[in-house]
Amino acid sequence: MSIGMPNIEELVNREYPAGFVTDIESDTLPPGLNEGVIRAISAKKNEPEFLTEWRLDAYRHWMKMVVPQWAHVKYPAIDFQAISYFSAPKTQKRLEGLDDVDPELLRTYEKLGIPLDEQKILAGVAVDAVFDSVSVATTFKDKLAEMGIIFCSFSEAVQNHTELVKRYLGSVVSKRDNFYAALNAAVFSDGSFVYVPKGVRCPMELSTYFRINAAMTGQFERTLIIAEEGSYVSYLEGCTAPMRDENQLHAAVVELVALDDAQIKYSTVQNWYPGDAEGRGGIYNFVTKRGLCKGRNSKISWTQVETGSAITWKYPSCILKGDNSVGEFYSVALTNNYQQADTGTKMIHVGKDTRSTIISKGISAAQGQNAYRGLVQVHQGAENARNYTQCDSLLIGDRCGAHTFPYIEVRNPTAKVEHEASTSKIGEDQLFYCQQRGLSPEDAVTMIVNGFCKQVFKELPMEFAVEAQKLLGVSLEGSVG
Amino acid sequence: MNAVENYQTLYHQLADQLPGSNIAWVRAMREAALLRLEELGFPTRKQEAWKYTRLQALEKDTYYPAPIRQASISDEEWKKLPLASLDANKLLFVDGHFNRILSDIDSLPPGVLINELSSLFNRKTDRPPPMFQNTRQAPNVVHALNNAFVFDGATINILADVQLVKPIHLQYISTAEDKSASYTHNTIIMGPNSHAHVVESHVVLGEQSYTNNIQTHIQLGAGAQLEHHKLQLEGQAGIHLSVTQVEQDQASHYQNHLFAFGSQLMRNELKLNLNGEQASCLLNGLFLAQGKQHLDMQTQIDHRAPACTSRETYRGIADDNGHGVFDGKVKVHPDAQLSDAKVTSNNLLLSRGAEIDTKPQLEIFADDVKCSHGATIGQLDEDVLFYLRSRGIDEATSRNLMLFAFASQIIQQCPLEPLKKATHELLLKHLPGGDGLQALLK
Repeated sequence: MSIGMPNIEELVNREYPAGFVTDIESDTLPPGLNEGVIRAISAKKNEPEFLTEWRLDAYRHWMKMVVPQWAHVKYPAIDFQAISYFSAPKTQKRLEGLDDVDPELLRTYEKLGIPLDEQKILAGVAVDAVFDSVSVATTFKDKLAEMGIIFCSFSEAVQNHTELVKRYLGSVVSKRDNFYAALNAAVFSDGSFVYVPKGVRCPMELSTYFRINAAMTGQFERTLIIAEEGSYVSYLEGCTAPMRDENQLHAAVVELVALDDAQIKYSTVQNWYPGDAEGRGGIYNFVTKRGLCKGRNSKISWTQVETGSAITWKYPSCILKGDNSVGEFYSVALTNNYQQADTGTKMIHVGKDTRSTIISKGISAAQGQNAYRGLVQVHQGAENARNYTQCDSLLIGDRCGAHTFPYIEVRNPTAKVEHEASTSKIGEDQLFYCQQRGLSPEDAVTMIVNGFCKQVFKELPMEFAVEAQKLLGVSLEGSVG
Repeated sequence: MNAVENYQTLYHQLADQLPGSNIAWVRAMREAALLRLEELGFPTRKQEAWKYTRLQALEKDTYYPAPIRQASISDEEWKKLPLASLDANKLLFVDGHFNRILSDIDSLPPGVLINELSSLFNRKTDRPPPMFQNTRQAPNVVHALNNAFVFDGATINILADVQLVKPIHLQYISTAEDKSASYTHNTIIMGPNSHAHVVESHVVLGEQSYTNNIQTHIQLGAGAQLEHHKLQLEGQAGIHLSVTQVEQDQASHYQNHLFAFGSQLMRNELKLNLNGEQASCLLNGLFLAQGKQHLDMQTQIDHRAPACTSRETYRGIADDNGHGVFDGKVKVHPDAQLSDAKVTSNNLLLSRGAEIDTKPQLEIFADDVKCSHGATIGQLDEDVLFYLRSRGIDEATSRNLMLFAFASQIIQQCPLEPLKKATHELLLKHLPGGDGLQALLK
């Protein structure tokens, strides 16, 4: 073969670069779930009565629900009683500043390249880092506070902004919404809370890094973002997780509320541990993300790059309730080895003149299974609703699968809905051309795949776009040859 | 009593009157189907395949198998029936019962064998014929009901290399009184390199409510070609439930042209297995849901061998309170490399009470494939409308003309000239204000 051809064996066998476990003491509840555990979580976090009741109601309802089976994914049944539902790094005293943070933790963040220290702050990123389940450090808070923006951990919000939490928690994803959302509502540990007041344009990208630590601890994050009238916020979410043999459950809920003329941009790069080349281990990622365009002219835009997790089950959706509101969904999902992804979106058109765009790019390599599942629903009163959907799949290797399950339901005669999907493999001639120009097959594939995903990458904030392209290259390693 | 129990009771009342009641395998087959019915129950919204369509009408009323009647159809009435003048080998079914007198299958060329299914039910064998072997595993309630009550149908055998010029016309006429059901099962087996046209038409005399439940099993040998057409003109109170299963060998070609204008509820399932290399199929469908009609088109194409091609285009129009459903699935199995599949679903939604649900699906387990699907739901193009109006055509006529053009593109694909012509005429008849168009189109 040509010179410069990488040793594929080596690439395939490369260990997950972000796989490590930070050894610090954590305050973990014994495995199992019952009302006592929920009360204990709630008590540990010193939550108000209404929230405890809210959790218990979710739990009682969850007990009656069955595990959803409709997704195009296969995995052994999860024993929900074998999971520990709370794990917090021990913090004896209130932290005064970065100096007080456990250096071990800081080192972990450094390995992940999280810009927590001063120089990194100059990069203009305010970080609310979530280590396992409890926020340990929040930066840039002062500057944001000046503008009236609240950006803090969910637990803090519960203590300091109880009214806002009470008003909006569960208003988009009800506590009984689905099996995993109900579980999350019952046991959620922490997450991020953002409130942007009327007319404020958030000056920087808000960002949270999630990190799974402590063996056998499920992560149940809950994020709530509220954009008041005429405000704008862009939120970044990125994840990596340490290597582990047991499958870890991750069931997050994200709720977005956009009022009149408000805009929320939510970007995700998800790189949880995908399991090894034989499909052992890896994160189970069952996420419920939904945005409510409540006001007129509001806009919610989801962008996601999903390269990690053994199983991804995720449908960031928009409810376009306000007249003239806009929903967008841009997604790249990559499955390699034995990864499985069932992802897509729902665009629910309720208001008049609502518009939505869906661009989904799925890439399957090796034994990966990638499914797009989407719903476009136009209600009777949604005059002039407009949707455009495009979902393309790229196949690399003859054992992978790409599936498309779009649901289109229209009840309004002025609506226009278009859907297009295609599936193909990387053209031999494209590959040949690139190789002929001196690119290695690996580079050629990465380049072609990046081109395939460009439409989505250009929606990402700049820092993320670079990271996403690199990530794609790394995730594809070993899939060609 | 729930609906399933009603049908079980009905079966036990009729067990001795159904054909083959004294033949062990027939009874066993029916009873297995009843067990299956009990297991399945009637579908609910929770079942993925029945998300948009319910069989409440069958649950509310228990439709009993239609008795054999001497059809008293006058010559006048005959001539009025669509496709009456089609030059074909005609098999006539009155309420699902084969009527030899009114049929015309005397001039069949050698190599074409046609039998009525009921004759099979008199045969004492240890093993039931293949299509009735797995009634215990019937995939859904429509199947199970059919297996439990099936009383007639046609078995068509076309031997290798036979080129049948005249089409075979399966004409179904419903005449029975209210709440009757016709349960038929057709088998079409085509030998290698044979070729035939089969036309199915469904019409009604009267305004009764009834169910027409048809199962069709088609097997195409290597290189065989079948053009299968279906014209559904059931009555406004009729329920049309049809399941067609097609098995295709190497390099065989199957075409299905479906035109659905009638019935209050229609569920048409079309399942194709492309089992041999280079098999191909073409599915075209047109449905027009007006009034309170509910028309549900389900198709599934399984690419099980390499280098198969499938093309599918369905067009739907929903007006008034009509409800149209399209669910088109293409599954490419592992090793079915070089598969080429394309599914298109275009729909027009014309009124506030109408609804269209479309769900084109792709499931792909091989990499060297070319698969795509597209779906649209929209309205008539305002620019085209403006153009027509600027040419002095009034708005209503312009709209009708555009609807006609939209639907006509499917009809144009039909390779059988007389059927194409008849369907165009029927389309004009069913479009609101279509009469006005007739003059314009001449």
